[in-house]
Amino acid sequence: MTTLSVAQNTSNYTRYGIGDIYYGYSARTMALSFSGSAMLNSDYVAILNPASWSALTRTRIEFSFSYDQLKLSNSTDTRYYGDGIFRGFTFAFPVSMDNGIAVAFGLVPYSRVNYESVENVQDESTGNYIQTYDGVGGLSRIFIGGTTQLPYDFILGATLDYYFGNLNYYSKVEFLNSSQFPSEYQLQFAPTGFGSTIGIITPNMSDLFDGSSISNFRLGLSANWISDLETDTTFVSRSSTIIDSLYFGRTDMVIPIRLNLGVHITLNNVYNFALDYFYQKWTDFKLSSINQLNLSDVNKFSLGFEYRPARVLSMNFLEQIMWRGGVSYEMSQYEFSGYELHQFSVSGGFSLPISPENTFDVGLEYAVRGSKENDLLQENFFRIDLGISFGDIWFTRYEK
Amino acid sequence: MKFHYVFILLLFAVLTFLLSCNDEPSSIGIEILESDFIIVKTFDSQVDTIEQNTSFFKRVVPLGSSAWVLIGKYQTSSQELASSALMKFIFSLPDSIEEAITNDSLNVLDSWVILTNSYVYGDTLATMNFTTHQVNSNWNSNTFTIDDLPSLQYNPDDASSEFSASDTLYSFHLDENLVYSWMQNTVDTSLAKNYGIYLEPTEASNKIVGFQALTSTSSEAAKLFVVIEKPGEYVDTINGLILADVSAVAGSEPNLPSGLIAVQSSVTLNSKLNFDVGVLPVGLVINKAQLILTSDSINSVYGSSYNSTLRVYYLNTNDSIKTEGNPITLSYKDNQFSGDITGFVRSWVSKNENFGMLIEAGNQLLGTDLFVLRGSNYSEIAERPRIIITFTVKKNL
Repeated sequence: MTTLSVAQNTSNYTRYGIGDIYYGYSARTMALSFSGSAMLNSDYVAILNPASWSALTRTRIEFSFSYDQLKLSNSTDTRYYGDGIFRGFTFAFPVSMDNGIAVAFGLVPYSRVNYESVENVQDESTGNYIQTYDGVGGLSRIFIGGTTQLPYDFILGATLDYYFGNLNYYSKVEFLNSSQFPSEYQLQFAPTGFGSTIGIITPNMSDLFDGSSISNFRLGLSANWISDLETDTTFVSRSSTIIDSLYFGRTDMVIPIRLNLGVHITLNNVYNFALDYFYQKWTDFKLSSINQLNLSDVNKFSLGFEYRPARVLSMNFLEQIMWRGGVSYEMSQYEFSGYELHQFSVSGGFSLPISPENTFDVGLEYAVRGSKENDLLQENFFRIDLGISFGDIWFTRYEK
Repeated sequence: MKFHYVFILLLFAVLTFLLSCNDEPSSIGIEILESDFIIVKTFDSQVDTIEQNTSFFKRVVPLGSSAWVLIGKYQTSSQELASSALMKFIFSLPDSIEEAITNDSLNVLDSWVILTNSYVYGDTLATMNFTTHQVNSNWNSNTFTIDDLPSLQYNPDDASSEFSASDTLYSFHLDENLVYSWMQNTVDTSLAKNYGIYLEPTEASNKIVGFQALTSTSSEAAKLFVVIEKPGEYVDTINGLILADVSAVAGSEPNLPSGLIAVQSSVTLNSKLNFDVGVLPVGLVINKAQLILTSDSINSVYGSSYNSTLRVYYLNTNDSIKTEGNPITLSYKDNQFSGDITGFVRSWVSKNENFGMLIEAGNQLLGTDLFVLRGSNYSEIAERPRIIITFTVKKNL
């Protein structure tokens, strides 16, 4: 995925697996703590569940930009890092609203690696030097997909995904004495391959709660499957003008299936609640048929709330603002020395109307992952995600 | 409606503030990256085991571009040296003199050569005399070597007289007819030949003297003065101009105690040194490599002035003296020559071939200084050629 800055914004944990995983790309999804896989969205494009595009009423283009601030601590020190990235874009339009058919495509990040550690080493025998370990890159996803309505008002959505990216891990030594040549080792993986996300959303089952204020009740399920990614692997050493290829070849990267189960409830037509569960068995992640160390299975629970005011003529600006909030708990994909890293997060956000179908979206998230104990790192993330969602009636065919 | 614009501006202001909160990368959590760790190590041939071998051999190189012309003999129990020289003078004559030569109406009354001392090898109080001979065959200072000397044709008669030597100058008079023939040659090459003179040290000589040679910068090269007379008209002194000079140094390989190697200028002696760097780990990066050679001051012989450095070349074929690239200079300090040969070692490792190094004197065309070094078989291991390599290797490679 395109990165606007190379400053560090994730910790050294991202050295393992394929780095930190992105569950969504938009400010709206982040504000809901990445819940909402059972929500049908009429005015924005979520990627948790492709079936959610079925309710689109307008052609939509969405962009998102994120700024991440990281407070990284261990038992003795604390540092602050910040970085901004382009989080992707999507384009979607309804084909037949009566039949729940919509098409969408987009370019979004799947994972990101971005860390840098520097250590000054005092060594009388070799001379003093600076060691730098950094990783940069990630896996991106291009998708095209569609939805259709099934019998009994079930909604099915599916995408064809193409995954690509570069994961670069550098180990460098630079001597303070300029007469000594520097050293650099670069390990690069460049995976490519196809995958798919298939999702289903149930019909509105609010009738089950007859007489209550529940106006919408749906369940959603989606699965993200990635084929074994063909991965060009190179391992080179560099020093000034000398580049030595220590290894190059092609191998396979196996990324486990991600499952996402959600429930969505709407109260009084304006209050939306979404609860989601994610599972991804990262212990099955393999590179060259070898399971990696320091990985654990992901179990993530997200609860999101959205206040979506009913559209009424003569509403003022403040009355049109959509408000969101969420909390999540995650047993992350990282495990070190037997300690699984857990993440807690709270989020919030809002959508400011620019015009009736266009919004400027803001998402905020504060998350804590890891621990200062047991030689681990604690990460305190503060993220701001800004997005713009444009809607228009291009391509929309109206039934006569 | 202005509210939302203010709100958006406020957000960007917050973002700008956050963007300024960025510390320098630190070592926090570096232990998590253990699988990527790289290790910096030092390999010292004095401590670690490495196979090495040294040898020395004699080469013949043209000395025409040397700054000194060497003449003399030097003899000790370990080495015999004999150096002779060739010189050629020409004239730039005015038309009047050329006309007088053509009309055979010019007499050469006297002529003498002055040589400026620059260097002495051996006992400075010893004597050094030489005889001067008319050369009868052509030679080229750029290519002439000691190997060409047996085929040089010259008149066995000594063409010099009134030999004089001091600490700073040597001079001798030349046969007037010989000089006149050179002047004739200047006017018309068909009248006479000019192949210069051959200066051969006498048997009694026991030092080698270096005289300032023809170079692009020195004005102290050999000078020829000629007194001419046109009877009844004038007597004048003119100068001959040195056109070419070259030394031919004959010398045996020194008879050195076991374990020693030698490097000598002009003779010329070179050494070869090879370290088997195959003992280094695979996939390493060479950060620095230092070569240290220990001098054997007892057997080394230096002249009155000398270049106290050695030069090391990268050998690019086996069993040869074919070198590649620029040499590395080893400077002298505390009885050791040392220098940075990082480039050589990096090349050996990256190309996976190693033909060793060629060691020669800092200026192998200047003087006859003998640098004796402790070789790979020297009895004291600590004084054998030493290589110290700082390298990096990735953990788990």
